[in-house]
Amino acid sequence: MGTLIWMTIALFLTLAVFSFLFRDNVLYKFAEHLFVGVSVGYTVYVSYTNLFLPRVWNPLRRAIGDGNILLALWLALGVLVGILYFSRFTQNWNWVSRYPISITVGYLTGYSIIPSLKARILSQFYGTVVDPAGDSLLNAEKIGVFFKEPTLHNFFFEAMAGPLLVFGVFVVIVYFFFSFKNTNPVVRFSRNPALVYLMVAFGASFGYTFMGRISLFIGRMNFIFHEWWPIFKNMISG
Amino acid sequence: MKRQLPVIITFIFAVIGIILQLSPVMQDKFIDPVNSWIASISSFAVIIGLASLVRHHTTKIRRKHKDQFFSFVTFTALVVMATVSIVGYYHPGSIWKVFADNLYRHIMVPLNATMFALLAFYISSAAYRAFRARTWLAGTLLVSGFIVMLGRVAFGPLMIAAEITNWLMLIPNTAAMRGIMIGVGLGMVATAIKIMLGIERSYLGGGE
Repeated sequence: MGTLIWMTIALFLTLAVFSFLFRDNVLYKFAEHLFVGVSVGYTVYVSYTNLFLPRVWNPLRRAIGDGNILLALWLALGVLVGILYFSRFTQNWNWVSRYPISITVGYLTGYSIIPSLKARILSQFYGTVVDPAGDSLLNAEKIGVFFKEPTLHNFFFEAMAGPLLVFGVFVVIVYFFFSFKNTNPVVRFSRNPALVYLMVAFGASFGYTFMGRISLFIGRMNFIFHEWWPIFKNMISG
Repeated sequence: MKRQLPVIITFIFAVIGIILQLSPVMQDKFIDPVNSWIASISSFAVIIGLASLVRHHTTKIRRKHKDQFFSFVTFTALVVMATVSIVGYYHPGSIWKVFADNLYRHIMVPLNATMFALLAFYISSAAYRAFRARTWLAGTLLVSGFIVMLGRVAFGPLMIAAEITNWLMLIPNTAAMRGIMIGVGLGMVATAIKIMLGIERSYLGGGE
């Protein structure tokens, strides 16, 4: 019975959200505000258990227990600096909240420069030169594979895959970096191929996202017809 | 004091962050206490966000706004979800834990999934307007999107669409996204250096 009640609540909320397809209404507004409330409540819980307890409270208790006064004072100082955030709610002292903001922003900025360089630039260039197996992407042997066995699959997935990928990355980078008016022949030549690559990628991303949303919709319909309905049917048929 | 000192602090802590990334010795010794320290500061940012939301809704309730009922719903849901989940965390076998799990499984998950599922309908209507093949480039977008949609549910003779989808995702999509990613990476590093050097100060907010 308990399960049916909870599942009926889930059904009601699902239908309340879908009622927005008709027009904005009280049921949708209720579901929307409930969603905001539970999401923020859950964020509070996650922040408490995954951030405050393991990063602040437990190390502080451990430091006090071990007699490591220096570490305990260091962590307590962090809490005191964090409390300065509350000055945002005052009229005359709200500038004090800039101190915790500048510490957090400064540290995370400095700490992220090298990982950003590595993951978003160097690794991407590396992946454009070398494939995951460690071979060169412009490997002539792969073109040879196509001539040994000339199939469409071998042409697109083996022979042309590497050259098209390298060419695509090159023209897209040139397109973005020289987006202002430029008469250089390389920049002018890159424009159309880059736009084709970008349009194909955006179309593919759109299709991918759309199908993801559709699968969520199918999930909700599955819930109604294959989870809630059989339990409800069993219940009313005794 | 109000603006210059925070800029100097930003620079000092950015340098500390860079040193911790570059020096394995410093990283071994200091990374945990420094990260805990930063976490203890940033955990208060969550409280500030929470306080702003609570203040917004309590003001609506106090002023008897026409939508005060919905503010009450948000406020109650927030308090109940946070309290029950935290109490359930400390009493794993209790009714609180069961209640917290049910709130998550039967309220938060369905609402989350349905909100995103709702977007499928709005994406379709937006696509209808955006995908009209007025130019050959818009046509490329349309064909690529259509093939990927078809490829994701392909069966039987349509499996060719799945093959083409794989190729589209593997080659043109990777090439374009990689180009964008490199541009974003360069932008991120440039912005980080601007913040570090005090050229970019918008994160400090307005005023004196």
